[in-house]
Amino acid sequence: MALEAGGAPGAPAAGAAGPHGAATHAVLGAVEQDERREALERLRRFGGDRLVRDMARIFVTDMPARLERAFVALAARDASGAAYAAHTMKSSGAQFGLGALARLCGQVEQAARAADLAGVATLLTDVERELAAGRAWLERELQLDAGEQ
Amino acid sequence: MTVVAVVEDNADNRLLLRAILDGLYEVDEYEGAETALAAFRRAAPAVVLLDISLPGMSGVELVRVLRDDDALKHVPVVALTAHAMAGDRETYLTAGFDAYVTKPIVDESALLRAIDRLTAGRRSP
Repeated sequence: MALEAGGAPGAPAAGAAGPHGAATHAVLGAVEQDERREALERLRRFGGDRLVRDMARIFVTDMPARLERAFVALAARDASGAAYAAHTMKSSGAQFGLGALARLCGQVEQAARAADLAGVATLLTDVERELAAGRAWLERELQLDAGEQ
Repeated sequence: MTVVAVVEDNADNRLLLRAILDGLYEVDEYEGAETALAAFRRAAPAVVLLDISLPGMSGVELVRVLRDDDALKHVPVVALTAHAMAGDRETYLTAGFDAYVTKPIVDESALLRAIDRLTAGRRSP
């Protein structure tokens, strides 16, 4: 017997270019804002504010290290290492509703598995940007201070 | 109390799963397949929640080892995976998993139902 449990559906990539330019960007930004809020509400339902803060602390401290591991793997032309690092970041980003970050990390993972290291290099700079934005949002949202990280 | 083994390399995912299972099951956590396997050979859990993507031995490799082990082949294993493409279900069942849960986890009731069914409802009262 096989049982399945639901995961989060995807959402359009934030910041994607479209025929409606800034309006599209604003709508997509609003979609991700909803995803983030829903993600925090869901995590609070699972384990209260304590779970959210504990997971957020791990996110803000671990994610830069995972990104660094991806860059190190890239420099060493270690495609599987880059894929693994991206996979771990994708999972954590998705759990907080950071859809753009999760999608970019998924693209890094795919590029790495296809041995497209040039693609990995390009995408990792985008990941770095989205990760910085994601960390900043979490720190603001949860009022994490330096002493808690 | 019924023991659920969580094999997951991401600390935040382990926290999340522990929070969901807290008070319902005893949770044993492992960061990697090798340490989990060594522990299972000493004492088998009632069910395993197993991340597919692990450093070193992968989740798929671990479940195959379990299915080849007479002492452990009966242990139900739930795949934890961010991969949810068409055909993945058959892939995981063929590999030896009994069920799978997609990440990010958004519905804890579905995960708990899966564990209940696979452990024949052996939760703590």
